[in-house]
Amino acid sequence: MGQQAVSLLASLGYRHVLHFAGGVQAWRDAGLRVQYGSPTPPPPRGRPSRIRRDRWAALLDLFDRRTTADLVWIWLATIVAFACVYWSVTLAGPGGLIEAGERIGGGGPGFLTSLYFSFGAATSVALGDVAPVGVLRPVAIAEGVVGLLVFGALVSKILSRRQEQVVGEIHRIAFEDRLERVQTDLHLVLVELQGIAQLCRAPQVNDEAIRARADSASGICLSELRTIHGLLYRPQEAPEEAMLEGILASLAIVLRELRDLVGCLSSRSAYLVRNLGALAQLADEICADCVPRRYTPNLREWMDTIQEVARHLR
Amino acid sequence: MAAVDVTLAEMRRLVRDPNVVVLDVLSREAYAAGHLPDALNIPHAELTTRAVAELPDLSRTIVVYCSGST
Repeated sequence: MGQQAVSLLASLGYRHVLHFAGGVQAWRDAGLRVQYGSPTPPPPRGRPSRIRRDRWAALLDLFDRRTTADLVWIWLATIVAFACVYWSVTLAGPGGLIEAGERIGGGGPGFLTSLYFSFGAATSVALGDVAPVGVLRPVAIAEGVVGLLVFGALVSKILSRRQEQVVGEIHRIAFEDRLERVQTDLHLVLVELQGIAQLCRAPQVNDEAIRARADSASGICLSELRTIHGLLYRPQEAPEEAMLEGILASLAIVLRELRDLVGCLSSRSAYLVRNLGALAQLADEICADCVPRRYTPNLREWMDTIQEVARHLR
Repeated sequence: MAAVDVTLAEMRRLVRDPNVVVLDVLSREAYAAGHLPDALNIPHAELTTRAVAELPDLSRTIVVYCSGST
């Protein structure tokens, strides 16, 4: 598919088209980060497109990628670094830390006092027993802001961890449920399609009734196909292969039955035509080369069958 | 024009290059399920209609990829 797109772009006049044949798979396999999320809708016509990078999003992303332990270390390192600043400014320059009206001294006790003040500033609980003067005032405020940001990121990390677990569990249950439902539904659709086909082939035909049932069955077919399409394109929820094979096989059988039925119908309603078009389009994307996972030859065969049948649906 | 295939190492560099458009030609669903950083998504079927509008500069470097699971 990539190669076709490359030729297409070249034929449109693009002069520098490259092709990364490895695709998402190779990128994932190399352990590189992929992004998730739906594509942004195309920009309104007439305005040149520009891919905008949000600086703030990038900053948040930076926190997001760190582990909890990393964030703890960053937070502690910030506090110690600021303590060093307070201490050295107190020793060297104008302004400094004042305790009980007097500038704090050098040496160990002085550093400990700086560290104490730094912790206070970072957690915004500075009690006022040690106070900054001169240049250290803005520095202390800066530490307060930075400290709270990092601490906030840390807290949200801890909270979201639990939340992700719960969401993951809910997803898993819903997913299993859906797999079972898809199989049952496919079976029912098959029975219904066979029933309609039988009516259709009977000598006295009630066209209206058959058409209504065919319309409704095609709608259910489409919604099942959408679900299966979704299953294949969500790599984080991989159904077991045996399960998937069962579903794909049922789908292939259902589509075949639908194709035969459509061939038997004397006329097609606009609704049916629309559904068939959508079915063919979706099924066309169920190919072993398009879905973002590798499959065994067994599954490839079923996917090929589905594509083949779908082509005759339009 | 023959397409030039790029390796994974080159791809890692291209992804960071702001002058290069990384183009994902997979369906919206596949794109949502995982794509390269800052890739632009134009599903293969819509390429002819959308490419000209969204990528007006014909001399810009475009690197195309799909699922790669062959």
